[in-house]
Amino acid sequence: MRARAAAELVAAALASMLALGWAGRVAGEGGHGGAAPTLTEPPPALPPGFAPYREVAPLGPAFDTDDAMPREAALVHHTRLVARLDEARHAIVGTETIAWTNPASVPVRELYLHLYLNAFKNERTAFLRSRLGDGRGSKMPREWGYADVKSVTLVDGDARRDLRDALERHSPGDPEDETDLRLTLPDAVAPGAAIVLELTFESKLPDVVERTGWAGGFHMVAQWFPKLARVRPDGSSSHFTFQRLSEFDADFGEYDVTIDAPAGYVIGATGKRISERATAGRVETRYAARDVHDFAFTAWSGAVESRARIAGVDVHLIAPPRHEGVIARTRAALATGLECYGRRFGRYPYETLTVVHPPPDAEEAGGMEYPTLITTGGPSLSPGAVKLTEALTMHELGHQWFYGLVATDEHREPFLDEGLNSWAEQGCMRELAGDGSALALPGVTVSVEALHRIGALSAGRDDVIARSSADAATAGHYARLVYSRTAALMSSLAGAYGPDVVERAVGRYTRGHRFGHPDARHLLAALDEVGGSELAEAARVGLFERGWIDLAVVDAGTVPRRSPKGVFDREGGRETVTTMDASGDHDVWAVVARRGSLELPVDVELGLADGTRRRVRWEGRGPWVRVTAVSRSPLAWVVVDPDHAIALDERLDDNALALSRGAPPLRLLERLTHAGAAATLLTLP
Amino acid sequence: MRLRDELARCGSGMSLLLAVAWLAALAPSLPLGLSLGASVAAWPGGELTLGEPGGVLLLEALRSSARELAVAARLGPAWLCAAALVTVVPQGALAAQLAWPIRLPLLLALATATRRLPSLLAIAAAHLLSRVALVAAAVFFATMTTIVTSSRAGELVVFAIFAVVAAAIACALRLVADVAVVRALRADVGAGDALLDALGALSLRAFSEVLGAAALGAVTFGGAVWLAHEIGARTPAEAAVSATLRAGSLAALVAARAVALGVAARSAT
Repeated sequence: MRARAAAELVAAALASMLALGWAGRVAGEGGHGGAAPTLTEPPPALPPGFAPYREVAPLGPAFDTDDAMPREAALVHHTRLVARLDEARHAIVGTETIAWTNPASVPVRELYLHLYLNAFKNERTAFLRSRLGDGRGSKMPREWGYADVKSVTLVDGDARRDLRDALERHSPGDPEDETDLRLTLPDAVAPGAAIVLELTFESKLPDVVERTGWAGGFHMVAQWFPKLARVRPDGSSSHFTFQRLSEFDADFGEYDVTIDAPAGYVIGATGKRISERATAGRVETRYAARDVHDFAFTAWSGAVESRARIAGVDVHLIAPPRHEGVIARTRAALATGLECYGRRFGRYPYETLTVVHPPPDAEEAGGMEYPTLITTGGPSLSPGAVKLTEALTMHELGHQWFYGLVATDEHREPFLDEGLNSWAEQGCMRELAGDGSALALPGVTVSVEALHRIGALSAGRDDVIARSSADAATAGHYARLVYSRTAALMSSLAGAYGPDVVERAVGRYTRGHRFGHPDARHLLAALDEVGGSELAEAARVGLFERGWIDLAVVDAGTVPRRSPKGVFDREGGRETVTTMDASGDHDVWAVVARRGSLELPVDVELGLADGTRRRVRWEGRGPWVRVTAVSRSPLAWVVVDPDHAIALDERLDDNALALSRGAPPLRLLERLTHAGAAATLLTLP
Repeated sequence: MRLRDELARCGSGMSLLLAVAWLAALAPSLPLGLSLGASVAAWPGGELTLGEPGGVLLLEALRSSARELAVAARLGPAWLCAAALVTVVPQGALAAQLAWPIRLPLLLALATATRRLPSLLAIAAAHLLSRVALVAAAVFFATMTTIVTSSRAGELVVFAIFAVVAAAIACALRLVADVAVVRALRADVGAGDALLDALGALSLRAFSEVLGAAALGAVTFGGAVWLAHEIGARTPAEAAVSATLRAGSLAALVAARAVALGVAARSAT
């Protein structure tokens, strides 16, 4: 009876599986109701020939050092903020005074204000409606966040004009979103002329979803105040609906911020602390920051803070208790990073740097960058072999240069900050940890470069790198294309044209365009200027045209040199030669193919049977090349790109061809015994 | 009936089951080993290895393995079920035969094992855990010794310690599983001489696991150190010697278990 019951159980389970499979097929065929599927394709990629970088004026070698680098930004605004933290409601009640100067060459009448916190206001915001798969920012807040502008006043001497009615939602194509507001001024502001706006606002923080929010007594207060969108030279504004993968774009200015928080809270913020005043259980802490385009702060009950002077910078570290080990590793990364980035891309110009390590229940606030303030992360007991904390710190520190100091448009050209920064981070992590910059086990090292290579190749050629963050298909695509593929592309360019060349070009770009809001054209122009048109063109194809490459050794062989046999018509008559005289030399040859649209110079190495090697450089222009040589010894093997200089090479198992067949069977045997060991251990009773 | 007789009685059936289980386990192992090896097999012997600094080739090998084994990966749950069946059923059959006071043909033993499904499922979990730990230790050590080609003996010591510790943990889990078997049987059929014999045998077998793991670690470690010092670079000869050593270590493992089982059987009579 029991056996029968078991059999019936098995039969029922099988039937269920079959039924599920069948039902799935029916559903997949669209056999039941519902609207027809819709197709959403990305906007057209930028056409070939975009980024007319040759029109950009050259920077010149003066920017290969810091001497000619701009010392300060052209300040577009002076902003004074007074923020009172309501720790019970996790809200900020604030006033904001903006003295704004029109930086454009034309009169401007419309200004745009970003209210980023409204991304967390309800489920209908563009941010929370995003269907981009898992990853950062994908969870729904448990407690909503929002920002309300209570008043907007135009101040002209003693005259005050209420502009509240002139403020309206303006998220293009998205009427439900409230992250992008348009403010229509009564009169256009002439180029170089200034106005003063006064705002009062209340910002309610969500629990930490992405970057900003609260968790217990921890408050990461970022994107928290009504923020003016950057006004471009042509008078247009860099405004956009705040989406899940969006970051920021703003004008440089000067901030004077007073933070009113309960006594006992640890405060860390952008800029330099200039005063502290205690009043009835609360403390007002005042910060000043110049030549920055954002202001963020943390107010944290129960944090542990420490201060250190690192590479000439006053560093303020804020972390949860019992994170001493991680903090020590963070300091080591900062010491290397500040020197490394400064040497490569221009010295760090600020006096201070604040580093916030969020608590474990607010990890999503970690891994973010603001001017002179970064958030890092990593578990308190993470093993030293895994360089997560170091890499995260190094990456966020690098953002001080890549977007921070050059101030590119993170929303429209995210590869210029995340991508270039990922590449820059690789170099500084190598200086910190060598080959094991991601993982350093005894005998096994994995570098950040190797990880980015895998990420870059996993995205393949799904899309161009140079897309707006709003046009990413998925969060995974964004990460792999913008971060990893840009990094792998830059590594490949450095491998092909020389690390010094690419380093100098990017250094010239970051120094020459410090505080300058450059775009992709300026990067390509710098590459062109330093490394030549082929380098710049390869970069353009890689960024804008889904450029790819696969190097392969197609075939190879050896022909012994000898006198020819056969029938020969000579002066003395026809002669038939039946024997041959071997000279002892060999003609060795190999055919190497370059598949894909990226044309990069690469090394080809021939290994001879006597152990000698010969290396030759191939410019990589045609689809293939035949490499020939005369040698005393037969060819044993051929390898293209023996140093793995081309990180974007899609496959490495076709990069080598061994003419000696002795090794593989033995290696195979060895691995079979490994498999045997595993199987035996699995099955022995 | 004493344990020795029981072991002799059910030996042929168990051998058949184990042979099937071994082949079933080898099936997923082979393509994994082959695909991992393929990335370096194409490179000239001694030129590049998976342990190249920076890990580019190691990650490439893992990437290509993942690609080539995509189908196998999708069948992961199926493999897991198969592994559970091929490991648990023989255990259950063996335990049932040891505990049952009458001769049972193999199929009946299997049915008996199935009848105690809840107990066996709990036991299966413990067994699987212990076996996964053992396999992880073995694969880790085997991979490390394959990857490491330098003469950094200190690193090999670290690997060996890791492997032995992992194996010891696995053996402890195995012992827990074995005790669970006996308890389950005790609850079902009551205590008896055969059960006590089984408990002693199983404990000794757990001890044999430790011996086996130590033998595996010692032989492979010794061989790897010798290779690192004497040969240095990765060559076909080195690969051959490495393979021989690994086969030898396996033989040592099996021999240690056989000896322990023999001791167990003798002690039970």
